[in-house]
Amino acid sequence: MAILPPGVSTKDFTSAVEAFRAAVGGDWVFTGEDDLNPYRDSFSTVWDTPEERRGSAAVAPATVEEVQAIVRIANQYRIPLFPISTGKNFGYGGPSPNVTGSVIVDLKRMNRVIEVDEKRHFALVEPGVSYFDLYRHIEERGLKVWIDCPDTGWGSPIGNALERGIGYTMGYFRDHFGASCGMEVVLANGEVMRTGMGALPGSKSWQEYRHGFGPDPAGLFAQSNFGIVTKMGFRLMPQPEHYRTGLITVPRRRDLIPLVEIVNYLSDCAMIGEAVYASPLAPLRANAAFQQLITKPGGPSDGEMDAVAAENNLPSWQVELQFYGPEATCAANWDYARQRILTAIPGARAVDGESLKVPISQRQMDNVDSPYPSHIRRHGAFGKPSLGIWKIVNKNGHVGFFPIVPRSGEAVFEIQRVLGDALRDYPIPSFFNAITTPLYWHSFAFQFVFAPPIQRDDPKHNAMVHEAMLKAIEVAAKHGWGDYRAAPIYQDQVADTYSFGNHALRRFHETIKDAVDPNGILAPGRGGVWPRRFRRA
Amino acid sequence: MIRREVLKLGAMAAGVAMLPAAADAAAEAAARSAVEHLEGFVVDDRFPHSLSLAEAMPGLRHRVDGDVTALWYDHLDAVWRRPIGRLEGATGEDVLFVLERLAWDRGRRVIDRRVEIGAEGRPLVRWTIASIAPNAGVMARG
Repeated sequence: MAILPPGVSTKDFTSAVEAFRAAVGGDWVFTGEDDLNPYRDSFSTVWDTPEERRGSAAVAPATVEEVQAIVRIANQYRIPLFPISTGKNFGYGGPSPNVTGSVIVDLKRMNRVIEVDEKRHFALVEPGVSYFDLYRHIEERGLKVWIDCPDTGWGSPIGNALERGIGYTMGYFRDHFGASCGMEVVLANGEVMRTGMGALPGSKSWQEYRHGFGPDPAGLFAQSNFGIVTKMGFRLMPQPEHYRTGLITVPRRRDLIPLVEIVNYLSDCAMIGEAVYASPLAPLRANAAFQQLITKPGGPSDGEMDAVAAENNLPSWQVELQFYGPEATCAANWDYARQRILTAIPGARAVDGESLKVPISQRQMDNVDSPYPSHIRRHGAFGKPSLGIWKIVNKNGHVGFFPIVPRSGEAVFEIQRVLGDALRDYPIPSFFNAITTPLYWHSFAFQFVFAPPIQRDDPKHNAMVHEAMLKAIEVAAKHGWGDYRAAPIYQDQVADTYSFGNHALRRFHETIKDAVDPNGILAPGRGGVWPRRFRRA
Repeated sequence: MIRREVLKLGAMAAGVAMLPAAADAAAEAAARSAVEHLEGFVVDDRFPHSLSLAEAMPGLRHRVDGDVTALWYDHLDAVWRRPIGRLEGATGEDVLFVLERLAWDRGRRVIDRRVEIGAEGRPLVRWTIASIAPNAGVMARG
């Protein structure tokens, strides 16, 4: 037992581990180094250094009652617990805890798909259920509902939603926490609580009306440490009859502003799925002069960028639109979108994409027949779990800063310039430059990506990346852009930026934390929320 | 360390107490039988050398191009619910990264890993993943 929980003696820790074994069975308590390796953050910037956050043990319960027992034991010995679902939160800390010495509560064995209702369009699952598991459950039964899946299918719907993860279908479903409905939580005192209609004994609408009556605390359990979620409901998208795509291009740099406004309208009216923005100028980055232009201090002028686009006979921006529903409404919505944009933006062009009857073939899923190069992640667009994203990620991985930005062309130009300037001196790929486009993963906000690569055998490189991450967080916050999700090693810095009212939000969280978890056993530090005994003076 | 775990967990699989001598022998036999069954060989189509290595191997070949989705969903997810067997492969590091993490969830470990430089100048990893935990299948079923 090389690592101990903070403030816990070897004797007490040994007793606690024995108690865990009695609670869940000896096979499901892990303390050996090899057994604990899977609970390290594979993408850590501080791998094998004293700063790396590592667990002291792991315990894998199979039932809610076993989770309750674990919580009670942790209270007795004041041992911090760090619950994980499938532990695949790579880029955001993986399965590693905020506090070294925490006992990882691995919920993978709680892997029942409890219910999928294809008439009322919901699922109720346990935390160990992966997207693959839920997809298979639906596919094997031929149910006419879709899940909304993030890039990697090995994650857990509950874990991803509690991280406020996102997907690729219609806006309502892309927001995984927003599309959740009803949860069961083991509280720090060992009690089991249900939210929303689940609090009403005999209710049959737990997954249909999330609020119940009175205050709805469900939001408190995302990116936080107020309880261990053991069941959660999710709204599911009815399988559409048809799917259609279309491409819009606009000629000038400033055309992005009206383009974004119209696409916002289409999205907020639920006429389109994820809109995928890109720059048709991107292939010019092979040209050193162009690369220099788009990364120059203060950014290029609109005139300079328009001149390059004109010289190369390329549009300045493009957006791919996706439509779901009956074939006729897909066609009508595409017609409307095309006409509205072409009328509003001189020189805009529209290209028909594909029009596909659902379900689609494997070839169509591979998205190889688009009449133009497509940036759509079609597996995601069809809610089909995949592991294909790892083809572009090597074993060293990356860390990520994902600022939330207003949905406007002006905001896009501003973050291109500000973070481009702030991060220019770091020897990492240029994530912010004059052709960087926003991601429309969230339903009602833009997001950008700063995901510098990690080199596990190069601590100097990782230290540089770490410094760049901190700089990005700081500079972005000064301009009103906050991170939406962070690895434990960055959560305090990110939480620090949400400081309105002299950190009123943090103090509110701390007040709740101290009230519901007086021993500070549940994931201390997660989300930047520290219990009293861990708080600095 | 891997060998120690194989022995310990193999003994659990065989239902024998961890006693000296006889127990060690029984454990070793159980562990050996647990990993002897070859589930197949994973070929990475991006590496011609991977293909040539596969030709020397008996049994089922699984072809990937860097994306292991189909291998997982159509094959390993079911096969790795049984707490026996070993899978071998010669692939890019990205493929092994994913398979190793999936293996961890099913009581398996990478017990052999050798990095070679493929004819393409990129690292090609020759590896073996084997079951080490008799409860691997239970982990999958819950």
